[in-house]
Amino acid sequence: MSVRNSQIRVEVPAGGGRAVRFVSAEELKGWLPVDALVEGGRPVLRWLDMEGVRLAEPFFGQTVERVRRERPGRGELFTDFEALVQLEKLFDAPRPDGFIFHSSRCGSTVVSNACRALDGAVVVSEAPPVDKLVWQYLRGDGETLALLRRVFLRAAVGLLGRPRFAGERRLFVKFSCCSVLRLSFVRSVWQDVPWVFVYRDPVEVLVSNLRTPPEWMDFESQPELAAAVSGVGREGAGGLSREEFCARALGRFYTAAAEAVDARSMLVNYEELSAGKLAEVVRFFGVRPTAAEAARIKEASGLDAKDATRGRRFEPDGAGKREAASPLVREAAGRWAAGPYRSLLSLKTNKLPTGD
Amino acid sequence: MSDPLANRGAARAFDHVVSTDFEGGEGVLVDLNTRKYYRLNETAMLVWRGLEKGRSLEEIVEEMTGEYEVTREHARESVARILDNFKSLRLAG
Repeated sequence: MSVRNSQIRVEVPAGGGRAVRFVSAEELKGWLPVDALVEGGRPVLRWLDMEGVRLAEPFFGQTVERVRRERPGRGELFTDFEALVQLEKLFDAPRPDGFIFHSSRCGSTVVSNACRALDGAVVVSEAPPVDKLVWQYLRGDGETLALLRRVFLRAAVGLLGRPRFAGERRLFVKFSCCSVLRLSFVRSVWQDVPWVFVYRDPVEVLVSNLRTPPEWMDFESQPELAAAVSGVGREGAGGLSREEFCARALGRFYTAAAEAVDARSMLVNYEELSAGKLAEVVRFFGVRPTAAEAARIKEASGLDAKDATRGRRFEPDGAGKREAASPLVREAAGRWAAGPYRSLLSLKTNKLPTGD
Repeated sequence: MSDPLANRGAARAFDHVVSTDFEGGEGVLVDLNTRKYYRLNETAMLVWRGLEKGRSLEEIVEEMTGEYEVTREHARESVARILDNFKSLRLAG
């Protein structure tokens, strides 16, 4: 049987296995790719029926969790990656207005929440298909594969960020912290899209990451990612203390951002974050906020950014974190991250172009 | 020298193939039947887009000479060669 390029091959759960069907783009209108997996050596995308669901939570994963919790009967299906190429064409995927990179636990979520406060904004925040594609998910070398990675990333971002509700016209993408190490790859796909890098004092970030370790610090279950993030190779990463691992990673995040700085970039230190700074960031992304938008940005700046209920107020915790830092944390931060952090601060002092 | 496009009928892009292009002009074709991917340079992409839009080979040659500094003869040879490649890979017919 010959497949037409308007037919999307999908696999739907059926009787404990999966059945292959062919559907039109119209039938996938409300669906979003929610994860990228490897099944039997084959990369596949997991899709969820997100019809009528806005990406309202601070993180994409929180929205997916809510949908699964509130509507357990929502359909799920799987496709190969070529579905991205088919659908990108059929849905006319948008170009992003701004990118948010960050050093982890540094206030970047309040920045993405400020973008979400704008009229007509779609914010794709740390969506697994995007970050996995950024992170060399498709293995192998060669120019064709390199181009394919770019094609798939552009399509995944476009599909996740495409307008699904009336009035949606702006797209912002927040990447996971590790993706800053692949910033040049992301920029090879969208050369003109402005980006910000949000960062914070390494001691404070270390304390936070050690208290509640993020997935990327689990170097036992993700040895390859850990090796790449820490920069010490697979064998070496496993032998590092958590303090050294995290400090090395932070140093590399800061360095990657510093090396990529250009007229399209803006560095935002955690200490500077305020309603005014957030408004500056959205202006840098090409949006002049209206009075109503500015009020919503101000409101976002006063809330605990990661709280999906939007009920908790933001409490400054920098001093508490510095006090809680162990000697090992201080030593690791000083050895691996403090230098690159200071370099970023000096770049900031040197007055970066802000696009204003 | 014989005309490389002489005696060729209309050509068309098969609809089991999907294409996508990049700002630099290069692109990728995906054969949905075989799940093979093909990387196309700028010129091949120009020919593919022409086929997709249902343009005649003459119109594609016209576009190529307008887009690049090539002689008509050279453009005809390029279009013929690229089309033969597409046909041998069963991407167009």
